[in-house]
Amino acid sequence: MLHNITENGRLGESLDDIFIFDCHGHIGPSFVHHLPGHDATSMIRSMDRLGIDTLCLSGMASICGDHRVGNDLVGEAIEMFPDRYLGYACINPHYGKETLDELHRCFDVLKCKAVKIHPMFHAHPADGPGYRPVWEFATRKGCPLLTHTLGGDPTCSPKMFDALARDYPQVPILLGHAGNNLAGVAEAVEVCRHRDNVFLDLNYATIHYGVVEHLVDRVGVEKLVFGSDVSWNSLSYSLGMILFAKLSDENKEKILGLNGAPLFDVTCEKRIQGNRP
Amino acid sequence: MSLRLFDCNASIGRKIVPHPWEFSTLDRLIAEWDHLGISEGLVYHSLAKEYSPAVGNSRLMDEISGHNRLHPCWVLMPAYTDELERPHLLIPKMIARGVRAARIFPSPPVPLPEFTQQLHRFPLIPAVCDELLGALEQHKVPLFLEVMNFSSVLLVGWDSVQWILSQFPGLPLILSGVRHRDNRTLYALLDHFENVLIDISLYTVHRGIEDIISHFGPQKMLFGTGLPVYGGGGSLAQLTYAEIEESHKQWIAADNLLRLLQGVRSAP
Repeated sequence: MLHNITENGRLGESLDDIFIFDCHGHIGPSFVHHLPGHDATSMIRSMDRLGIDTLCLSGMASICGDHRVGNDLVGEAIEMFPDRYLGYACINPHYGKETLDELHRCFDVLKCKAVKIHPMFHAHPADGPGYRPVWEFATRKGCPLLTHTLGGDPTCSPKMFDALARDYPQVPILLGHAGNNLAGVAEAVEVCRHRDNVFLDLNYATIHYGVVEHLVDRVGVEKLVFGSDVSWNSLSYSLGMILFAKLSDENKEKILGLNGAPLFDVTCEKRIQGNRP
Repeated sequence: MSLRLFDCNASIGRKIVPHPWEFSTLDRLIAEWDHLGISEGLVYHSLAKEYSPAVGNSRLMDEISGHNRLHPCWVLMPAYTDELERPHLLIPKMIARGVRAARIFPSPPVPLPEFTQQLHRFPLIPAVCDELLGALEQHKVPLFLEVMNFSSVLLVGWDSVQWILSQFPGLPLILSGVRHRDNRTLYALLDHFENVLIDISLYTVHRGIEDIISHFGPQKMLFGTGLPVYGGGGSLAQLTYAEIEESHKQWIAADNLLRLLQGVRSAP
């Protein structure tokens, strides 16, 4: 039975009729905080319950000190659930000699399809020399690049990506968290409005009342993609911010999957039938 | 299953610095509750937080008069300066007027950069807070304490939280603003103290509700939205989609808070 999407959320019903593509997830534990459900099987269980078809993963360890450990976890998850997980290759720019070899290993061996950078954690600017090989690799592959953003942060404030989007026009750039705070949202909107290859991942910034509707109004619904940041953040909490937004179901479906999947060359088709509670 | 939802964390009134999309009126709050399917909730007034508790609490009572879906939550502070009546006089009067919950806004442990972020500028130390917290404990009035803001800045020191919990074991203390970054502290407090609960408005922990229930049972969490600053949809979906018993969802949705409110004593 087809339900109104908001009503699905109120009742906690799996979104069986809607294709959902989650462009932002992490696998593995974190030294920063306790993450109860960070393993591949646990996240699939949650995805089934909510009706999430595909989740794009990067390794938490890649954001930390050893990108090989993180990327291996991503590869294992893809091997376990090849129809459900899509991998980001993520490197730590402080080990620059390894960068290209690791990126190639991620794509050729681990079956990753996109790249992720976390300038804030790595304390290295998104346009710094350690990340330039990543941008160039993404250009050659023509694959999406997801970046952490935070308004006001010298490594990844959204305005920094205006020049990067200009310099690497073949790379679809996903601004993770859409700026992450109110100042960042304002910057992200400006960049997104002026660059065709920039998209906003709605996780977390949208926790503020009214932000989703504001972003639809300012950048257009086609530039918005769903990212939950699971397991760093809650999958259901992130989903709820879209389910309960004051948007048409048609626009919610675009944000939840129809906009994001084509950037990764993923077909928008339902992969699961969720478990209705 | 449709839950009866009781919002433990909402406010009305104008703020010094509202974010661009938030609202301030009672009518808008009710409209948002209707959108989310929330039947009622505890509400405090921004004037009580950001101007004067006496003025804001009074304004709250005027504004919500006749609205049976809104339940008042007063903002309190130590009364040695006579800005409020002394607690042994005020708390019984407060309860008699139907106010069964309170909030306090003590100084943050480290001064924050903006002048207005220092909140009510009193520390959580015995000489300052024994009288107020003792009176609240005697009457079993649930006390809400915002421990962290959106930017993960600590608004109350964890040593102060531990002091309240250990010195006032009969005082239900609800921690707002807690998130995954606090779990290593939060779980220890939940393990040691019976009187601590959390408001899940900002508890954006993946499988966090399930994990807390598996460790501590379903009675430690209260549903809240954070409206009008936060949207509430995330908090609601985290509850409706939780992989827990339906009865436990209902406890978190409303029953845990209702039990606390019903436990308030008009006489010590």
